Amino acid sequence: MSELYDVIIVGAGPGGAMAAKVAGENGLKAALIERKKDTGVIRRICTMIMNIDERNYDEYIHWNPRGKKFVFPYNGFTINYDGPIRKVYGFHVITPGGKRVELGNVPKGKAEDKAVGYMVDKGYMCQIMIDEARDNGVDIFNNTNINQVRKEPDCVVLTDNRGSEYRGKFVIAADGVNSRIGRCLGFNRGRTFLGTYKDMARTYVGAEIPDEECLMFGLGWNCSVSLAPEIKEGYYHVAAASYNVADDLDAEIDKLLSAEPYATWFKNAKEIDHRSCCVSHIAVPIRVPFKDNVLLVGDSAWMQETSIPGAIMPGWRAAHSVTEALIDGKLNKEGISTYLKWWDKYFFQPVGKRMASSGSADMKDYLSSEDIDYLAGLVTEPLQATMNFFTIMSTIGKAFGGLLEKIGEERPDIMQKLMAMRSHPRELVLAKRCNDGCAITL
Amino acid sequence: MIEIDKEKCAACCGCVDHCPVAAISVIDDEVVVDSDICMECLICTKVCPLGLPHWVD
Ligand SMILES: Cc1cc2nc3c(=O)[nH]c(=O)nc-3n(C[C@H](O)[C@H](O)[C@H](O)COP(=O)(O)OP(=O)(O)OC[C@H]3O[C@@H](n4cnc5c(N)ncnc54)[C@H](O)[C@@H]3O)c2cc1C
Ligand code: SF4
Ligand code: SF4
Repeated sequence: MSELYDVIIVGAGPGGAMAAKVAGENGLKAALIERKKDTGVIRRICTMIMNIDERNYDEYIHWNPRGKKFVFPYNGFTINYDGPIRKVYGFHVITPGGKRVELGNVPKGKAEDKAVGYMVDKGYMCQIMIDEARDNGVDIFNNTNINQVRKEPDCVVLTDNRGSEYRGKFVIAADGVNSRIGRCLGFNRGRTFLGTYKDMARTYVGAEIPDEECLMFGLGWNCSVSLAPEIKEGYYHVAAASYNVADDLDAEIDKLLSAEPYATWFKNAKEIDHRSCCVSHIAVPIRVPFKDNVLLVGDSAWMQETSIPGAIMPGWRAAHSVTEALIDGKLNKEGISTYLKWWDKYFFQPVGKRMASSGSADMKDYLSSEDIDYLAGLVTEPLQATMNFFTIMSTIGKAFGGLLEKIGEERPDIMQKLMAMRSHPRELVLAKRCNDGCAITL
Repeated sequence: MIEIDKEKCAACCGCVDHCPVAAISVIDDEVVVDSDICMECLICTKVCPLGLPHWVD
């Protein structure tokens, strides 16, 4: 019979890598299992921007340039990072007609050195934590796919693709948004399905993009489109995403790049022979992410974008909580109750519930590209710089709140569509997402 | 059976995650289908953003 670990962590993304590092530091007998062979390479698409100097769940993350570390002052820990950084100064909405609503003025942000995001090499950042875990005695099993999980009286048993078994008093499942472990344990049952999100990006070199140091999100196309710099200087990615698995994402990127001003931006650009992508099964966040001594951490308990820091914080807390449970000899839910309380207070109640009620009407079902150009054209001054999802929403909401009268006078037709969009029943949105997507409950 | 074009695969693992019977694994950072386990449900062909998994007779 295989040896019994105090804790086994599945998934070496930001959540699992952090949990493994802490388990090692706390002296637990721990293992980290990851299916990738090269644990330092991120294969699932991610823009890799660390949101800093803004409220972030219960945190306010800051960068220490001399010590080369990200500081999480409220939780009381730091993570080391001496890799490359690209500063990002805001979030811009772009439209098919070339309008640009700026949340953050890039030249001003640069002049004042006030970035709201630090783009990092996420794989390297995870690798640092994995190496720290290994240095502290954690067994690292890479190239190992976990396919099954079962509970036995005194432990949790995980089975990999070769049939090998791993036994742990606790398991921290940081296996990402499509968590197989969560699914096998029945966590998806009764969880409202919000859609299958497919995202695909092409990488270019040599594009000439005005005020490029921001994340650009396109509205008014058939799919969601986005443009962002990559960590490597001179590299950009152009992405398209949709909740309809049948949509042609490649065609959507072609469309974006064929019209002005974007065609000019990419006139001299060359596509690198490299495409990245991801597909996420999105269901509402889980209120109590614990069952049968398995604790879900990061995206596995959330939706798809709990974010890098949003996975690191639960990873840190979870490993400490498991340590407490082992010290107290309470190998059960009561043992890790500090984690569950923290999760409920800082993640589920303030943020998770709001995410759970998402599912508003698709803008393209109501507004034409021209309508969206018109609306975007109304915001002439840059708005507050932010990378925080909720601040982005509220800032845009506030800006348009002040413009409603003007829209009503100038374009009553658009006003009517906006009102109709707002009262679109959520059940219809969810039904469409089910129909267009691919829910996995098995 | 199901085949995946290795040259084009980004190894995002979306199909690995969505396969109901865990017939797809990542071995040496390559995505591989085990046709003995595959029940031919075609879910992987639908979810891949690059449209790579496909049916071959
Ligand atoms: C398009 C996109 C853009 C994003 N951009 C940003 C951004 O700019 N900034 C930001 O902060 N966040 C961003 N996010 C969100 C961020 O990527 C995630 O929230 C974060 O990576 C979650 O971390 P995690 O550790 O929970 O899971 P993951 O990072 O998904 O890690 C899960 C790990 O588990 C492994 N694994 C999964 N299943 C198994 C198994 N069965 N056996 C063994 N190993 C397994 C995987 O290989 C992977 O390494 C983005 C997400 C998307 C989809
Ligand atoms: S066809 Fe179905 S069972 Fe076979 S590999 Fe694809 S998803 Fe898995
Ligand atoms: S979903 Fe497509 S790109 Fe991703 S691993 Fe599967 S075949 Fe490769």
